[in-house]
Amino acid sequence: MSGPLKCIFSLQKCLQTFATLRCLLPSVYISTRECKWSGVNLCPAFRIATFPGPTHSFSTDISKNDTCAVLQSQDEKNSDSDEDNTAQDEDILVSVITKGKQLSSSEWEKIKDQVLAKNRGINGSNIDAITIGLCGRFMQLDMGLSYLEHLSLSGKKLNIATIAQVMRMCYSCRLKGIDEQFILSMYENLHSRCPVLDGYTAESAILGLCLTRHWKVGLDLLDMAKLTCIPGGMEYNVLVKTAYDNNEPNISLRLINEMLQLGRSIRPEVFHAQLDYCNRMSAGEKVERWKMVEEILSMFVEHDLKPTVDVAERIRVWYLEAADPHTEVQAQLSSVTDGGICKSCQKYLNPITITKEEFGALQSAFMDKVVVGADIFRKSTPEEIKEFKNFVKMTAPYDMVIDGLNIAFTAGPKKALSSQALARTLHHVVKYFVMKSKKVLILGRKHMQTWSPCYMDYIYRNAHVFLADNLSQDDPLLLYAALYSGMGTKFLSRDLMRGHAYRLENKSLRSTFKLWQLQHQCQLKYVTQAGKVHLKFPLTFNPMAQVSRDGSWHIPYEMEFVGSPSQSFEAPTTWLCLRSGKSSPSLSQVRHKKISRMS
Amino acid sequence: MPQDNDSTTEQNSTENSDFTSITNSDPVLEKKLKILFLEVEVLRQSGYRVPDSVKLGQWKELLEMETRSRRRKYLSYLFGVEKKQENRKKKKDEAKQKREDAMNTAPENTHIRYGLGHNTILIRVYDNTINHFYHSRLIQAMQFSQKLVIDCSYDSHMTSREAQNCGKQLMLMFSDNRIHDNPFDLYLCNARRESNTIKQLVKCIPTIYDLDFPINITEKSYLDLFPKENIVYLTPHCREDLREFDHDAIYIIGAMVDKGNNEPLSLAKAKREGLKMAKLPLDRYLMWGSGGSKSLTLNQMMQILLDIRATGSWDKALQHVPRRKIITTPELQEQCSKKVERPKRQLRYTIKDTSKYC
Repeated sequence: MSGPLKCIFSLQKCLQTFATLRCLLPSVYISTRECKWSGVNLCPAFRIATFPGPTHSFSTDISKNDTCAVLQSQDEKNSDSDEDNTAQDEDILVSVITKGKQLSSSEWEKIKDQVLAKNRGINGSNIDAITIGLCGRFMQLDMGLSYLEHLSLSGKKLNIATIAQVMRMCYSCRLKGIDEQFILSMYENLHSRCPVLDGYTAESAILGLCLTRHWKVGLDLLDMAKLTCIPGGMEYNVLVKTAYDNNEPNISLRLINEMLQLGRSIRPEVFHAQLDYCNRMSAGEKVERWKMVEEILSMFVEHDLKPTVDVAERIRVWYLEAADPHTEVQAQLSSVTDGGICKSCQKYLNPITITKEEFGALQSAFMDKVVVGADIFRKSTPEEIKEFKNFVKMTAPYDMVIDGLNIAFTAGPKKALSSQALARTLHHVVKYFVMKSKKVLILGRKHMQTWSPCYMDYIYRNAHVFLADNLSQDDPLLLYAALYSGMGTKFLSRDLMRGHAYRLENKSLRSTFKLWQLQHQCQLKYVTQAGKVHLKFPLTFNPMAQVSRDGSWHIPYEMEFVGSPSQSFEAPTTWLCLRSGKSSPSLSQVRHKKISRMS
Repeated sequence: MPQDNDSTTEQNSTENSDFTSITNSDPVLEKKLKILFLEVEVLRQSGYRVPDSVKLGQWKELLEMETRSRRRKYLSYLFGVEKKQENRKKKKDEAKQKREDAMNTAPENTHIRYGLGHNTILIRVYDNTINHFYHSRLIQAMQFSQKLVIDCSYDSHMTSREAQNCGKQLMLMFSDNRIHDNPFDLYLCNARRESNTIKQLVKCIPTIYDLDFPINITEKSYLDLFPKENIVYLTPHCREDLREFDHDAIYIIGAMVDKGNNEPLSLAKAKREGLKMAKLPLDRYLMWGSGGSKSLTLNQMMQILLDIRATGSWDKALQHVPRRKIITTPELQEQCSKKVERPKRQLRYTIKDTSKYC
């Protein structure tokens, strides 16, 4: 290699490992002197100590396993603006910690002085917590412990935040093995100084305590945290997992109900812990074990949960193991067609069921909360509401309620359409339904009276039409009319109606509304000029976890843990199908009834 | 100083102010407040941006916030405010030091001192003189000019941040009004003293409730003060454009910052009270660009109304709409090339990028 090239290569290497080789400073100087004649300006390299990428999103460095995901949720809570200043200062610390070499007390002292000398966001009172926090993020347990040693040697008392970060670090490095006494002593220290903890400290303490035998104290800490904040998903998940590992299912179930109420999502580790618990309790007895797993599956059905693919795989294997040797059972990861047929067992999935009481509650609440809302004038006027109520009473029930404006604008962008094109689109859609002898109600606005008469005439003659004021919102009226007509009526609109769902503040009402919407909302795909209409009909089957009458389970699963509940109207495509097939009569259990299966 | 941190966390905070005023001796709230002290301390120790001292009113706000992220964001804002004040003080001290140094080194001139702050041939005009001039014109306007009503009843629909912003906009509106050649006679109706908007306005203009201050603030509604036939409520949610400015009508603007709330509150109010409604003809005269919403601040509205009253020309009046909201020529060319056909029914002006002609 020629001289200059060699220099540049070594220089590149130096630039990359610059921060980590600070102790080799003299050698870097040497290489700069060598390369000075090549004209490369090296000065900027000395001043900056920043990595090219952002330092607080460590996703590229850390492998995505569950331990670091625990901390990433801590990261998610940090907004960018909070960590901007300190992120740059942390570079020195980050580089030191990622190296992984344990440092002596004096070396730590030097590094601390370097960081403090920069005097940006880090000062004497927060450097300890930040350092330990970084050790936790990078899972460098030994470095963290050596830093603590340094602190104790220098006689500095640990502040609250540092202790909390220590406990967090212990949790994230739990696979490396932590001394239980250490955590308990830390907690004692914390508890004696602050009998009542705030949300952040309580979270960290819960994480730490769940590694020890005093994990139940974590439950009290959870209640303490509730005083000032809504506890995050991480604590709940960790507590539930620990409760299962310690064979306390009642506590787990209570916590699961709580966290689902608060909208926190359950992580796959919890399901794995649940399955392990079932395994332990049944002591290897397969059938017993399956009975317990069925309780878990009922929980999926009740709360509309979706496991990840690894959990689904375990359940599948256990189902096969638990089967009676004489019954033929099938357990497969399959998918579901649009019509609702499971590809592996060729059977229809359950339809969506809404009980009469739920529907009645939704009907009565809808007028109050959504149409009227806080102020009736925001959506409409009192006279119009009265007129509409009378109209609906007289002409209900309908087969189809159509959002006139929404449908008419399907033909193209708003500004490019003439009123004739709009009227024509609407006319085609109405004709489609009238040809099938359906009773149709169309909701529109008063300015539609000016639309092209030849098409509108047909509409006025063959369907019911209600035109609201130009200033009123017509969506709540549409939904009211559809609800009033009962369970047989569908409605047609491309609007997702999310704002209206939000107004029903009650959680059960919202889920009823969502189910009703899934079952009753048609969407218009396209309308050609000639009159061809293509509709997307609503789902005929229930897209949630379900058990059918003959005892077969269909559980939708996802490939990766997503965390937020699904907002889309698309049904899940990956399903786990568990069922029993044709069996010899005498030995089959009561639940596995005989089912005819297509070959 | 670790020792200090510990003492603040465990016992009462170092501030000696009386916290019963914000907790009303409710034990639950007191406990929550103590936990919040600890939380602020922990955040400070963890490296989050937290102010060094939190005042009593700010504790009250923190106490009302339910979620941790909200408190954190508020503390980060307070940190920014504190740092700004510190920096400003530092700069002031430096400037003072410089001035003193300059004074000490200036040559001693015993008989006269030339300069703008000292002896000049120019008459020194103080701010107060100008204020008196504006106010005298405003008092004339209050006697003879057209009335404009600002409806301040939307305080309950705004967050405290929005209400403070609204108060500041009211102050700017007042100042734009008094500077203009033909000011309006301003009425602030439904202006409750305890509302956040008015509190912020009083902060900006402390003398606003003085008897000789040229503005009308009242807690009464405009329906009690003016006849219904003359009132026109300006709201962006209705359909009719304001074609011509009517010099006999009494226009009402709603004092509302509705960045968070999308509901047609002003429309609902006008409907309920059965008033005539109108909106500014923005679509007719301007081409809206992709950036920026169609909401205008109160002082922009005031400038537009003042100009349309004075000139009768919408083009001149709508020049007060910020340029960034209007479409620029490159963007327009892009749009034209995308669309096949543009209906040229309405006369539209585009405001070219005039920066290069300055």
